[in-house]
Amino acid sequence: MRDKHPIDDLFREALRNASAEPPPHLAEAVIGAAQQRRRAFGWFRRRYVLGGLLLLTAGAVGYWQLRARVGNGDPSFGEPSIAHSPTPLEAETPTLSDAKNGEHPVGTITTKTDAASENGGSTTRAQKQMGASYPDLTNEGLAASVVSPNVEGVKEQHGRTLVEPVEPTSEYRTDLVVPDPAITTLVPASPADGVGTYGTSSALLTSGTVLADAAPMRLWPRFPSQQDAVGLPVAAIIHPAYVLPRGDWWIGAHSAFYASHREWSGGSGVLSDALNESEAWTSTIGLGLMGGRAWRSGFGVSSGVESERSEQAYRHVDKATSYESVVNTQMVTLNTQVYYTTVDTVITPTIRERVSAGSDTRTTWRIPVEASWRTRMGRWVLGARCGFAAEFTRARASASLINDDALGGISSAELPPTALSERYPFSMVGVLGADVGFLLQERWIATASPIYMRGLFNAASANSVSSSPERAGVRLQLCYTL
Amino acid sequence: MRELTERELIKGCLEGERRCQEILYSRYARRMYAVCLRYARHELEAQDLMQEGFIRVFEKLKDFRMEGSFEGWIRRIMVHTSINQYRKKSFQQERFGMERMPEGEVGPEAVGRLGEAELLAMVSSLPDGYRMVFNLYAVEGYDHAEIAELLGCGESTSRSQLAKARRLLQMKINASSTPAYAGQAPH
Repeated sequence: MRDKHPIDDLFREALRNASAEPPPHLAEAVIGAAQQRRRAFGWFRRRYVLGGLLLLTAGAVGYWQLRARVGNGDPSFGEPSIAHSPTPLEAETPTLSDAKNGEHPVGTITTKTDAASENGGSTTRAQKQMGASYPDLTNEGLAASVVSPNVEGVKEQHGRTLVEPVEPTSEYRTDLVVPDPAITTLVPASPADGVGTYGTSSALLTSGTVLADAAPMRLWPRFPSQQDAVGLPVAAIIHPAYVLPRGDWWIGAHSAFYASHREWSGGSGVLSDALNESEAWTSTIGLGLMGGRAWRSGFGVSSGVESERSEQAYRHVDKATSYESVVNTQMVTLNTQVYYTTVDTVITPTIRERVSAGSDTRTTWRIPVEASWRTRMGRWVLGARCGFAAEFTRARASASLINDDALGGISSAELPPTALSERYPFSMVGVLGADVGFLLQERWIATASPIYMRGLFNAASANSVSSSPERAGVRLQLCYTL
Repeated sequence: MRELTERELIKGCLEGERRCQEILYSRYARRMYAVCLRYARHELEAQDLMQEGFIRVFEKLKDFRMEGSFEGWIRRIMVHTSINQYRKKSFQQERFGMERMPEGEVGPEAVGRLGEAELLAMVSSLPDGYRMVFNLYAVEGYDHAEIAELLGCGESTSRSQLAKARRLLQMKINASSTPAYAGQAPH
């Protein structure tokens, strides 16, 4: 229950709806701070939008590339396709006959022979063309991979699918073998088996090739494009040369989310201690582009550029204490005789506070050079990385601390740009991280990398107060292997 | 020019329009500054509270459901900002001589002569704990249980601080009325 009191009533009636004129500068401070926060949040949102657009663009380009390759009949993507015939075809539409016991269903394509075949030469035009177009292909490879022009059918022997050649005629038939799940076992499907994910069973079997006798399949086959394929026979196109590159180039875009702060040092120590007290961890976002090369051993190097922008809330209370002393003297006198004297000194401390609040904006450009190692576990990729980064920081501060004896020691003041830039010198930072990635597609990989960075050294002189960055966070990267 | 309605003002502020923020500020600044002065020890602190409070108002504006008094909503934010500020700081409780303050009534003559500014100054001069409890109880209308929860203290503490605040204010009122009566002849 509320107890009534006349004092309460007096003050409530007088002060409940009281008004007082605030100082005029307060309006600008309030509106300015509100606008600044909105701009900061707006920039924050814009960064998200920019990052999203970047990823979307990268995704769209990747999708377009993928579609283009599928459209080109690249057998590494989607369903295999019969390549174009070298000569004007009068091809019949392949018809599939029902499977018989122990046999595979086949279709038939009838084409006219070209000049080379009619001459009964052992080298087909396709081989000649391939030899011209792909000098790295050997005759042995061709012999193993290119089917004799006259093919009668497909039989199974000792668990292998074989193609039996027949006598040359003025026409040749190529049997179209429909993929059979049983045959797919002949095709190593896992990269761990030393064979890439290329060369699906259907693609290989369509040509009617003996898989076991084919040129050894290796990682990263080089497939001819549709343009290359024009003028080549079916078998030549579907059996490309398997090339083993030593490494792959890649490019990637990333956004990074960090918790960062700066460690102040140098000078007499008093100012750097005060600056360290006013410094707090703040969240920042970085956007960047990187590229690099990854070798088969798993090791890789990468470099790029990253931009990071942070808003650091700033608040400092300048305190000054002044003391006022009053001496009270009491005397008890009778006539001129002093009987009793007391002297009291009353000291009254007055604490004056001055609040300086604002927001610092720091923009950092970073050029990292990193070495990494990765290993695959199915579609997952695990790894670690380390390196260093050259860092350039530009700060725009509303106010900063200075150590001025005339102002009573540590106090806040607006610094000129040159003095401010001395506090954010060029720095080299060490980078440590781990990678967890997932292969989205053959060439696309999404990686999340926990990252820790710390300033190693900077270009500031020991006499001046300067800062070194420290940040921890996660980098989300989308990479495309070229 | 037509004056913007409260709803239009809020909508404009939510869209980040500087003009609307300025109008909103100028519309409520005087009354809110008086609230801040009541809770602050001095003008600088009141300005600090005012700035923080209004920034919170602009930030929380999206949560205002257009129900009830908008001014009351802003006032609550100001009060809570003051309480947060108070809880952040560890003030030294000033208790010297409080127990020996005389009880007494407020003279009606004194009340009549005291203006808003003087009463405001009296409240501001109270020790921090007393000032917070007195403001919340006497002016804002909170009860002791609510005050205890807001300030993180016991109900008994709230009661005792209120009693001491009243005694101190009474002393100040009496003191301010004394010089006015000195030398005046009764009619």
